[in-house]
Amino acid sequence: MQRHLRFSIRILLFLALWGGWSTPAYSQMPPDLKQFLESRSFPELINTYKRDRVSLLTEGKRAKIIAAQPYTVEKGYRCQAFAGTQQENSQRVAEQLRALQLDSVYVIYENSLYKVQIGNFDNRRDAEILLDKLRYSKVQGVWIVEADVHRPKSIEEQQAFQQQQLEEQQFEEQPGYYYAIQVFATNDQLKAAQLKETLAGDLDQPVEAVNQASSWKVLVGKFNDRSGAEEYLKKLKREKFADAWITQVPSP
Amino acid sequence: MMNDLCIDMAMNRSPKSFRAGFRKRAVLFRWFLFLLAGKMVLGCASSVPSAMETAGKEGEPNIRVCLVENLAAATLGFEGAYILELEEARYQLDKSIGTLNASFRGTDLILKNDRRYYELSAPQTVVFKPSASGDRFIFNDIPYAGELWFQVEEGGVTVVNKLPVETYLLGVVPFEIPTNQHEYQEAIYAQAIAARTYAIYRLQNPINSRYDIYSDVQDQVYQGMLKKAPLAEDAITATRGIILANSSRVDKIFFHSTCGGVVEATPDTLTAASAGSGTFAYDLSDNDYNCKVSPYYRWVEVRTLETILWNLQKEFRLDSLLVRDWLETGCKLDIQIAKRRQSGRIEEMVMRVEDQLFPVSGFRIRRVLADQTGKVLPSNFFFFTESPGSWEKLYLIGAGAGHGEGMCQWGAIGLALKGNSYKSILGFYYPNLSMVKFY
Ligand SMILES: [Zn+2]
Repeated sequence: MQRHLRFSIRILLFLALWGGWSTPAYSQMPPDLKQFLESRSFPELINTYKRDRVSLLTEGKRAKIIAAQPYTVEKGYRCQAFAGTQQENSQRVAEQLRALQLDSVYVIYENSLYKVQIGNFDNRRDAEILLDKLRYSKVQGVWIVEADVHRPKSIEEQQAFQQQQLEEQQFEEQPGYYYAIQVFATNDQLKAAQLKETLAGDLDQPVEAVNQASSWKVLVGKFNDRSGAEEYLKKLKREKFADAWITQVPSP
Repeated sequence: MMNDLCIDMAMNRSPKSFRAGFRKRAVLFRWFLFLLAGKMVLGCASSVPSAMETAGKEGEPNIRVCLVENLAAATLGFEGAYILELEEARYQLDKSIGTLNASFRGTDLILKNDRRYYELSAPQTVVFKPSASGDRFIFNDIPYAGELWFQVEEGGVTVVNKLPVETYLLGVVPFEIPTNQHEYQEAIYAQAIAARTYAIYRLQNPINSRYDIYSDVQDQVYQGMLKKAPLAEDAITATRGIILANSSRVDKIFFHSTCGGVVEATPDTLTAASAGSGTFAYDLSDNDYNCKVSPYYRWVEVRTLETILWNLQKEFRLDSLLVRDWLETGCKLDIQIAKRRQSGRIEEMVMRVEDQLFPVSGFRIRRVLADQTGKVLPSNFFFFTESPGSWEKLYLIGAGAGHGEGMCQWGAIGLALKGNSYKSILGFYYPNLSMVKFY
């Protein structure tokens, strides 16, 4: 049981340092952790960890979504130039089409097929016009399909979004506060302390575990201005913590 | 190397322990093979069906494989000469006609390119026949052997590939098991027999009147002549006609990629083991898990809240505006495992977003936890860990790939690497089935 607990904490710490990587690779785990997971029977591991309940939280990110996606998705029509199982072939067809100065060329993966689609039309006739043009340009084997199409957001919508972003950027510097980077939050004091220890050895900035709003947060750095914190955040994000963010902390 | 005998592999059904049982079986088995030359086991003939359509040489049946159930659009080409016989004429199609685009409009199947135009109205079945055995038709970039059928009906077009079972297996075995290492050979033999058994089961229990079997994971993956795999070809040829049967009938048998060390019991597989230890058995020999060599033996996956919400949207056909609203204004997702099997595989799970409940079970669990590209979770065999560093992320530590019933394919490879023959591999995973020369 002791051994299990020790490995449990080590696995957790490994995941913590791993947090930012988008694609986790089991093969990157330290050999002793892998050995531990591989030699135990899996029913035994499940019974030991009994983690059968989790909650995920988001605090909303209107700005992020609009920024990443200045269009809405709707039902409509596209011209399809390719459907097949070979990704290379789909890329090749897409490149040929882009070479014809076509701008909305999409490669999508759907129902186990790679598809190359062109255009965003809300009616079939417009798609047929493109189809004729393509044929005129000697592009063969194109047909019309019903598809999810992109509709760009209106100028007004985009302006409203930019305004909102500006407002968010100009948040006031409050006296008696400093900036720090939050890398981790948990309600387990032990875990926060463990991570603090690990990070303190690795980073060139002060690391602390503080209790805020009934959860334990691991904070890195003490910066008097936001730009200093942003500079360091970039470094942290590059290294391990893609999800770290800047927070304001009252000075003691 | 095989003769026309039933080979009974289920001699020892000791319930003591799976592993011990296996060892004993393996020893007995060698002894048994010794006696085999003169020994006849009764019950072979009784498993041969009479109603089944047979064709090809020596009673090898043809199988009708569904390539597409409801054709929207596809591409079609030919290598070699295919014959299309219609009322008005007989056409020969080959490489020179290029690629045809197939589509279904109203009640018509349209096949066309700038050289050819065929309009085929419902109801009719349009059959393209190869003129030689090496001829191929290319459907959606995949080459296939055998006949191509378009079953044109008012409601849509079904695309079927009809071909001899042994040829069909050439498009199955390389996609079911890795075939790139000589050391895997015994496992590939075992897979060839298992895949053939499944095909024969489907011939006796077809999906519907139009075709026998699906070409995807609903049955077993079939990708035509896409992959040339000499080891698979050897295995199929050497085991020609051999299947697994339960003395009087061919049952639906199961196999899966990787069990992660724990195989679920099914009536044909581990009843012997389950009598002792419950509903599952360890995939263990020489004190070592057989499928440890699998890339899916243990895995870690990470999922974001956003990905899971979009999966729920697809799975439960939610209004995408609702999901967008959750993401923009903030929300909480609770996930609770409601029921695990004795092995630990998850049967039921409940997800809750705000005040909406989403119960998911079976394969659906793997779909709602798919990654951003839609790739489903490898198995239902996992537990959660907290998501250090982010409240929006979930880590899953899991084992195996697939449902965990029947033969563990990577376990078979593990057993082959440990020096076991295909007969003892099949005897290990299907102790209650016997090998039968079906044709
Ligand atoms: Zn296994």
